Amino acid sequence: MAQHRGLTGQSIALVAVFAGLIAASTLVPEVTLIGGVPITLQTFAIVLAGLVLGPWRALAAVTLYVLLGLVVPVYANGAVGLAVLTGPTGGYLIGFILAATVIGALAQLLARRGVLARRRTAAPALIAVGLVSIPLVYAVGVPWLSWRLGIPLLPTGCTSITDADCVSGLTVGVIPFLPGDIIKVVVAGLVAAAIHRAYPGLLGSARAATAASSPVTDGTDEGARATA
Amino acid sequence: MISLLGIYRPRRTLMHRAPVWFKMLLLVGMSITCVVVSDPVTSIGITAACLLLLASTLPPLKATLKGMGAIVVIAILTTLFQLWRGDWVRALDLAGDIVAIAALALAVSSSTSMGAMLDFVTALARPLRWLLPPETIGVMVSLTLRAIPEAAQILTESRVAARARGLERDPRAILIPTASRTVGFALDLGQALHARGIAEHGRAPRGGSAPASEARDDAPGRVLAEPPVREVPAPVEPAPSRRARRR
Repeated sequence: MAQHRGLTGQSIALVAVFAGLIAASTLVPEVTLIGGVPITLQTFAIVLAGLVLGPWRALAAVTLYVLLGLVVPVYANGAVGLAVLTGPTGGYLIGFILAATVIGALAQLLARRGVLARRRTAAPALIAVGLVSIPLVYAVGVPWLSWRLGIPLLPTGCTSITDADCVSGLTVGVIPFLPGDIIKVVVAGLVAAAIHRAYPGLLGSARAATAASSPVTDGTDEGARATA
Repeated sequence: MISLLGIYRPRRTLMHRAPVWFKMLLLVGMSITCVVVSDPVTSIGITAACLLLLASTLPPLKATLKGMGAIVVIAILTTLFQLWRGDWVRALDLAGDIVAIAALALAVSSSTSMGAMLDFVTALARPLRWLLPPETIGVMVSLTLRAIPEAAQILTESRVAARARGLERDPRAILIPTASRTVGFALDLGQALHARGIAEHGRAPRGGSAPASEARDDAPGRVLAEPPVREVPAPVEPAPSRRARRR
């Protein structure tokens, strides 16, 4: 597989361009909610990277984006990198890396099974895989957030919305963003299905994988190479 | 709109002259200290020190205020919440921590040039060289920097095109062309890299003989219709001498 052998020009270009896409998706103007919480295409781009690139290249692309953010202001809201990564919301960035890798692996599994080749199953399967990313991002981001802000992880004895006990990692860090996240993941799944239809073999379709695992070693080709 | 300058300005302050590893170590150490120590007096002292350090790097005012703005809002909200619970010690401590770390991080960013930071990250990635040759990391980073405006332009163009068709509310009409053109751009770029033989090492042994690395030269991606089966592990025999002679 390409991931193994790793560094073809194509893989490098895909990793770099997707890191660029994730960065660009935070730079184009988008809606900003109260409290400086940006609704950008960032989540969409990260889920898309996972679904399109497969585990290793997605890991590389998102890591490259996070590392680049240390240098260049490419995080959400144009914030400067180090301050965000070390700040209360830095856990989400780490969560993105984990999530992109995991859904990349799952998407590759789908591709090997040939699910992505069938038009009817591709989009629902990719959306289902993409939804896995949401709990993964929050699993890293929310404990980090509630630890840094000194709020409990789960609401305890919450009676009304104005109750102080209601403020928790779950109510501050998850619930306001959940609807938007689900919409973005659904869109990312649809887009990824279209991409896999337009460029089959990005993740190595089932047929291509078997063809690649049995490299043809005929004498003529070897001879041609030796004399080349 | 898209400014990639950050808040670094070339100056000659103490922080600018300090080595990058020292600044990063300071940042990591200070973060841990801030989070571990939960004493409001220490916390405020550290915050003041960090703010002074930030001021000592003479950062550009506007960008710094913008950088601190979001963090300060979060800090204020946290403080209000803790005060509401009647825990003012905790409130001071947490707000101090958040502001201090942000100020220190901004101080590091404003005193470290992009090149120095990239060198530092590349040096950190050195243990990964069996996986990723360092020069590949350099290629990737520069390609990414080039790809950001490209991707932003593709996004903008797709949005304009969707609006022209009256579909600006339909995310698919914007995002499918964007993603598909982006992947197409990446594949073209990959082909160009391949054609120039840039970063086509595979996992070739570093420092090995040239023919060996050529023999392991990776196959082009299957996505592109390229001549078949070029990744056959060619025998490493008469070729070396001939290739060596030709050089």
